Amino acid sequence: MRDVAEDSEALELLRAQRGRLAERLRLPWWYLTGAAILWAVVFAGPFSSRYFPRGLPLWPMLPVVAALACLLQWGLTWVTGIKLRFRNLRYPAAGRPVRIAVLVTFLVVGETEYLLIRHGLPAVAIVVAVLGIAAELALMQAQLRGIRQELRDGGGPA
Amino acid sequence: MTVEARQDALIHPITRLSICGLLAAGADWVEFAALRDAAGISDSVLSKQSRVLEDAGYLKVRKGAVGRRPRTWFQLTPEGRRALEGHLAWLAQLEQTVSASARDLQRARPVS
Repeated sequence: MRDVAEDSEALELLRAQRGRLAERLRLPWWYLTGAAILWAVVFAGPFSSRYFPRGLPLWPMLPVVAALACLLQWGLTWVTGIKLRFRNLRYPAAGRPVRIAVLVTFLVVGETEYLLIRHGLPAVAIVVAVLGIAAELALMQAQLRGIRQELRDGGGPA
Repeated sequence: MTVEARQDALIHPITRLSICGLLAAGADWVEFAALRDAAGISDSVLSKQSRVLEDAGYLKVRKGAVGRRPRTWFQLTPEGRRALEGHLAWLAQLEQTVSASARDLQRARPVS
């Protein structure tokens, strides 16, 4: 049996071990590249209305985007050895404002692109799309920081 | 929900406490190598201790493979989580008691 001092040190050791586990959760370059491509496809949507008068049918694109997103997630799980829970409104608790920001950014960038294209400013719309992709990637990193913090604190969902 | 602070003899050994504590940190499943590296233990120790926890119903083990590389994944069961939370609460109480005793001793020490 351990003595009392060792018992109190056990908690400190566990904190350090959780920190080591959390540090494994970093986004590799290929994940960020894949995510950037996915967001580029999403933000390219408004341009289809300009160059294709009837617009492009979105439904054939959806399975491809979903499959790529699943593949990226599977790859991340494989590399880190950590399978995260499905991200929803409750998990991760620290990332809730970030998820709202992801949605707001998506809507704002999409609408701005539509407006700029309608007013004959496609070049500016491309710049907005690129900024949107950068913002979404930064938000993705922020969400992962929240998950890392929860792993460190041991505050996972019950 | 309040957690009843209770020492759990099965989780008490430091290796098993580490395994359960890491699995309860928030991930859904944790892979063998990730758990081994984070806990700082050897393959054989992790295999042995995880089997003890699995037999007690504290741990779920899933084995799979991609190509020829086998991979083992661990997940804490609700029963294991309850036992861990009780044990951690007990450890936290102990930590507070030790700190309070140390403070009392320091106060009682005569000024030289």
